[in-house]
Amino acid sequence: MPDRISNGNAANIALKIIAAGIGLCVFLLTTGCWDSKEIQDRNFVLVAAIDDADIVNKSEADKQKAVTQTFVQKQGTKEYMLSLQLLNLAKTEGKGGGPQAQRTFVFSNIGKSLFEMNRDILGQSSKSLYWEHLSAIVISEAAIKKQGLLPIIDFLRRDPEMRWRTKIFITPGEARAIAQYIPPNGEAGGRYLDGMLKNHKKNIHTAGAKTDIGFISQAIDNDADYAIPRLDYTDNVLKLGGLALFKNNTLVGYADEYITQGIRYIYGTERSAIISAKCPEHPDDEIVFELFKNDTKFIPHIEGDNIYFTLDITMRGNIGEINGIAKHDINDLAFLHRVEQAIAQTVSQNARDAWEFQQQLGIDIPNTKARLKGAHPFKWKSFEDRWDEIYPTIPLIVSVNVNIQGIGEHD
Amino acid sequence: MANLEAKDKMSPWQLGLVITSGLLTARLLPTTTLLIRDAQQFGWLSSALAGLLFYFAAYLMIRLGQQFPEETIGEYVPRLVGKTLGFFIFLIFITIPLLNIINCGITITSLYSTFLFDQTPRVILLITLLLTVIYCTLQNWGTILRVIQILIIALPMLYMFYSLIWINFDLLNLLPLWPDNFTGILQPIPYHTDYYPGYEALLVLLPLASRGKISFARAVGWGFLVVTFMYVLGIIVLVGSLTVKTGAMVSTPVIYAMKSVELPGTFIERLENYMITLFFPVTYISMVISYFVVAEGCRKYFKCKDHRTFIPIFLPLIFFVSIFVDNPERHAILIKFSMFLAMFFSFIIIPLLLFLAWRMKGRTQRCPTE
Amino acid sequence: MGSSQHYRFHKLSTVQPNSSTLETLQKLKKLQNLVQQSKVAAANIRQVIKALDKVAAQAGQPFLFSKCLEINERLVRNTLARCDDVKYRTFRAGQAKALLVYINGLTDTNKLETNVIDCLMLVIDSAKYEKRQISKAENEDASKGPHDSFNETLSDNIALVRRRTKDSDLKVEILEIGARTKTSVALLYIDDLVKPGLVDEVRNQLLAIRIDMVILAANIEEFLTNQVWNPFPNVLATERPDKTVAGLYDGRLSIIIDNSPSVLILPVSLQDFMQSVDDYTTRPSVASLIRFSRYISAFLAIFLPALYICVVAYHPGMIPSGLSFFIAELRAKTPFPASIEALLMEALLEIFQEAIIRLPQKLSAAAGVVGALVIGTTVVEAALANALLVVVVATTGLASFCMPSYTFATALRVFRIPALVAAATLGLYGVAIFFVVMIVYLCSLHSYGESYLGDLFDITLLEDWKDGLLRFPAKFLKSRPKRLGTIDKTRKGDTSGKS
Repeated sequence: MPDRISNGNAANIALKIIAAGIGLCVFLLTTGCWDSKEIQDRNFVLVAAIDDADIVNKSEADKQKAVTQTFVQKQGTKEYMLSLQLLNLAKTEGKGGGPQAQRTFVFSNIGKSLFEMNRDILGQSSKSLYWEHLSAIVISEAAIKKQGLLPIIDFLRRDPEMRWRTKIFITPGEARAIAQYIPPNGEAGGRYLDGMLKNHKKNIHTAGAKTDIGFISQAIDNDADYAIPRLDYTDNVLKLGGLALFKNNTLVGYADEYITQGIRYIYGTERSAIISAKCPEHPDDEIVFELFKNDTKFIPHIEGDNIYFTLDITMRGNIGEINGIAKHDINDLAFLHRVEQAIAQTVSQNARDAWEFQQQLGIDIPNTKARLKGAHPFKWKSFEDRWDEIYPTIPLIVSVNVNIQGIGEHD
Repeated sequence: MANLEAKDKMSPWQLGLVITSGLLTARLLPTTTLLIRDAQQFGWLSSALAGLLFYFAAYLMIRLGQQFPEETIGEYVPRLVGKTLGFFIFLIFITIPLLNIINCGITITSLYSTFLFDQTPRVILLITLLLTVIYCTLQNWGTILRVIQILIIALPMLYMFYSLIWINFDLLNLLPLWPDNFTGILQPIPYHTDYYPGYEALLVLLPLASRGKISFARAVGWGFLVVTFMYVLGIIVLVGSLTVKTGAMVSTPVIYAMKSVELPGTFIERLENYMITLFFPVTYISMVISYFVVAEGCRKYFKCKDHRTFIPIFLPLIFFVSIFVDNPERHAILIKFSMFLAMFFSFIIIPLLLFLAWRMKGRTQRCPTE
Repeated sequence: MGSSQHYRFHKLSTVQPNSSTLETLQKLKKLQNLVQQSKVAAANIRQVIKALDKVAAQAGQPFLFSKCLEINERLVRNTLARCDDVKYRTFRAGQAKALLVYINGLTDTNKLETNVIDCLMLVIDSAKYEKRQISKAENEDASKGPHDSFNETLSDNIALVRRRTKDSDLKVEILEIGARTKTSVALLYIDDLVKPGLVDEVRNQLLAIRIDMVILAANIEEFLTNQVWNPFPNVLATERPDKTVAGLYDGRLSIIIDNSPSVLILPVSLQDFMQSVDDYTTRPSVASLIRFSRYISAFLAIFLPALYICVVAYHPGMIPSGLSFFIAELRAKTPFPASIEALLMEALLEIFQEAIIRLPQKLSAAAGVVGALVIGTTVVEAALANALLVVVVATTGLASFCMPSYTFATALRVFRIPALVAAATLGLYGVAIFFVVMIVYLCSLHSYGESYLGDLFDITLLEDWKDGLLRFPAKFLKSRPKRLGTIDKTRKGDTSGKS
C-alpha cells in the first residue's frame, strides 16, 4: 500500500502545519478580534452637514457653544462647521404616552479638515463614528463660497468607507438646521432626505439621477459642469426643488424649478413629468399632460463652421387634468392634436429657455463639450481652444412630438 | 486506503481549466488604473492584443513541452543549455510563480485591509492566507485539481456581480472612437502580465495531463479566449461607467465601479464587499497553482519523491518578501520587476529554448542516417 | 496478532532493506498496476465464460442443462458462485439423484419441510430464534415508495434484497467477523457491474478487522476508513432495501451485518448523502429544486451564524440601512458581544437537539414545545440574545435537519463552531478562508479512489452532473455514476449481454 507509506511522510508535515494553524488560532484569539466592532457600538452617521464656521456668530448662545465644539489647531483657520446627524439607538419606546426620545441627534464641530473634525467629535460621543450608512450630505452655500466644493468633498470620496451613491444637497441657508430637522413621520432624518431625492423619478422639479457624490466626483475628474439638488429650509419647512449649478469647483448659480425641468428635458432624464399648457381654445384654462414615456435624442452637429445641437423629444402620456371651467370637446381628434401641439410648444420653449439660461451662465450641464468631442473628434481639435467663446453662441434646435394616448377616466 | 484509480492525471480540458483559472486574479485591480491611464478608452483593445500575445507565449510553451513529453522544464533545460545556464533558467522559471504568489498575496491582503477592515495589520491577513494556500498545496495534484474545479465557480459569480455595472454604462464615456495617440494602446501591453499571469505553469503541468480528443493548445486557447473576452467586455463597461479620467484617478477602478452600483430594494448592499470576497477564491486558485508549480518543478529538478518537501522551504521567502513590500514605492518596483521577468522569460527565453530544442531534435534525427 | 493470515503489514525497509524507497515505491506501483490489470482481466474472463455458457442455452436460462447431475450442479454453482445465501442439498429421490437449490430466507422453510423434505427425510435449517417483524422504516420514511425496512435478521435482510432482483449476478458473500461474537456479515454486490478490485479491497478490509465483538453496524463502519477523525460519514447507512438495491445497481457494495437493521452502502461521496428516495418519486423539476435547496441548506447549516457575526460585528454596511439600524437597536439591548451571544445560542440549540433525541417520543414533543416557545422568547426578553439571532440559530438548526442522512447532518454541526470562531476573529475574510479550507478538506477525503466532494464538479464526469446538484428526468439518466468506474457503464441491460 504505497499511499499509506507516502501518507506517513505527508502526515508529519500536515501535522506540523495543523500545529502551526492551531498556534495561529490561539494567537488570533488572544490578540483579539481584528477590527471587530459590534453594530450597537457604532454611531451611524446619517447626515453630514457642512457650514461656514462663521455661522456661530449669528447668535450669542452659539458663539459660547462654539468655544467647546472645537479644538486647538496649529495650522489653518477655522473654516467649516461639521454637523453630524447620528442615529440614536437607546430610543425609548415611549410607552403610555411618555415623551419619545428623538430618533437622531446632532453633534457639531469647527475646524478645517473634515476628517479631523470627525475625530474630534469623538470627544462628545460615547461610541466611534461610522460613515458606511451615510445617507445625505448637506452643504451650505456659505461653506462653498469659501474655497469651493473640492476641499469639502475630498474626504468623502477619498475614504474607502464611503458609498458612492450618497445623496448630496446644497442649501442657501444653514446646513446644520437641516441635520437637526426631525421628520414628521419619525423617520431618521438622513433616510428622509434620501427618500425625498429618490422621488426625482416623479418630481421633475429636482434632479436625482446623476447628482450623487459618485457622479459629481466623475464630473469633477472630467472637468465637466454639474448640478446638485437644492434644499431649502425655513422655519421647520423642508423643501427640495431646483438645482445648484457648478462649474469646476465654484457655485455659479441656481436653476429654479422651471429651468431644472428644461435641463432634464435636454438630458432626457424625465421619466415622468407633469406639463401644463394653455388650452388652445380657452386661454384661461390649463390642460395638464402627464408624461410617462419619452424618447430623447440630443445630437451635436458640425456643418462647416456651423455648430448646433438638435434635440428631438417624443413624449407619450395622458391628459392628466383640465383645469378650467370651459367645456372642452376632448374626444375631438383635431382638438387633441392642437393640445398636443400646445404641449410640445411648452416643452420646446422650456428646453430653449434652459439652454439659454445655461449659456448665459456659461455652464454646461448636459456636457455638450464631451458630446461634440465624442462625435467629431477631428473637428473638435480646430475649435477646442475657443470653446468658451463658442459655447454661448451654439443654437439648440428643438423639435418635440407629443402623443396623447389617453384622456383619463372621467371627462 | 488504496487509491483504486490513478486520478492524478488530467484531461486536456482540465488542463485548459487550470490555466484559465490561474489567469484572473486580484492582481489586475491596481494595474487597471495604469491601463486606463495609458490606453484611455481603448483599454479593451490593449487587453485583446495582450491576450493574443500571451496566448502565443503559452502556445510556444506547449510546443516546447511537446518536444519533451513526460518531462518538466527542470529536467530538459540542463540538457539543452548546459548545467549552469540550465540552473539559471530554472531559477528564473520558479521565480515567476513565486512572484505571482507574492503579488497576489499583497494585493488581496491590502484589498481586504482597506475595504473590509479598518487598516488591519497586513501580517495577520497574510499569515492566514499563506497557511490556507499551503494546506491546499500539501495535497496531491488530484485533490488540488478538484479543489480548483469547485472554487472556479466563484469566477462566473464574480463576473456576474461585475456585470451589474452595466447599469451605470454611458456610451458617451467611451467616445470618441478614435484614439488620440496609438502608442497609448500598445504601451500598457506589458502591464498585462498582471492580467494573464501563471500560464508558465504549463511547463510543469503538461506531463500531468493525458492526451484526449482535443489538443492542449486548443484547450488552453479556449481558456485564453474566454478570459480575454471577459477582459475586453469588462474594460468596455468599466470605462463606460467610470469615465477615463476617473478610472485613471482611483486606486482600484473595478472596486469603485462596483461601489457605484446600488440595487434598491434588494437585501444586499455594498456590492464591492461581495466582489472582494469573491476575488478571494479566484486569487487563491492562482496562488495554489503557482505554489504547486514551484514545488513540483523543484521535485522534478532535484529528483525528489514528494513535492511537499519544497513547500515549507519557500514559505519564509514568500512571507518576508510580502512583508517587506509595504509601501507604494517598493510595490511599484516589485510589479515592474515581475513584469520584466515574466516578459523576459516568455518572449526571450522560451523562443530560444524552443529553437534549441528543434535544433537538437534535428541533429539527433540526422545522426542515425549519417 | 497471532493469526493474521490475510494481511501482514511491514515496514518497507524491512522487506526491501537494500533498495531506496523511491525504487521500491516504483516497484510497488508496478505490482499494483499488474494486480489491478489482472483483476480487470479476470472480470472480463468471467463475462466471457458466462456468455459462452449461454450460447447453447434456451431463452431465459443461463446455460444448457445436461442429463448429468454433477455437470448441472457445477454449472449452477458456477453461475451462483459467491452467493452464500443459496443452499444446496443433494438427496436421492427414489432411484435418481436430486439436487435441491434454494435461497435461504426467500423460501418458507416450514412449507419446504412439510411438502418436500419430510418425505425425503432431510434436515434443513432447524435453528429458530425470536425476531422482529419487517416493519416501516422509522428513520428514513419516504412519502412515496416502498415502506418495508430491514430488521435485525441477516437472512431476512438478504431476502429483502433478493426479492427485488432476480439477477444471478447479485453475489452474497457471508463472512464472520468478531473473534468472540462471530457475527455474520454479508457482502453484497453485482458481480458484472462493480469496479474490478473494489470487492477484493473491501473484503480484505473486512477480514483484517480484529475485534472481539460486532454489535453495531458502526463497529464495522469505522474500520473501513483511514481518516478516523473525519466527522463526515464515508459509508451510507440505510434501513431501506430499495435504496440498497439502487446502490447495488449503481455499482456499489453493500454490507449487511447480522443483528443490525442498518445496512452499509459504499463507496459513497458527499452527493450521495444529499439524495433521498423522494427525489426519484417526485417530478424531476421539483426534485431538482429540492435537491439544490438541500445543498444551500448544508451551506447555511455551517455558515449562517458565522455570516450573522460578519454582518453584526464587522460589516454592517453590507445590509440596507433600515435593516442595519433595526439590528443595531435590537442589539443595543443585549449585553454580550455578538460572538458570545451566538455561541450561547448554539449551545442552547445543541442541548435542545440532544434532549429531544434522548427523551422518549411522547416527552420529546413536550420538550420541543418548551424549548421552542418558552426559552426562545424568554431568552429574548431576558436580553440574553436578540430576536434576529434566535431566527438565525433556528434556521441553522432547521437547515441541518434538511439533510437526508442524520450522520451527515451531525458532521455539519461539528463545523459550525469553527466557522463562527473564524468569523469572530477575521470577519468575512475569516469566513472566506474557512470556506476554502472546508472545500480543500472535503476534496482531500477519499473513499476508494473517489474524492468526497471533488467529483461533484469534475468536468471529466459531466454525465454524473445529471444526477448531482440537480436531478434530470429518468430519460437522461442512462449511465451509471461514471465516478464509480463500473464495468457496465450504461443502464440499458441489453448491451452487457444480459438477457
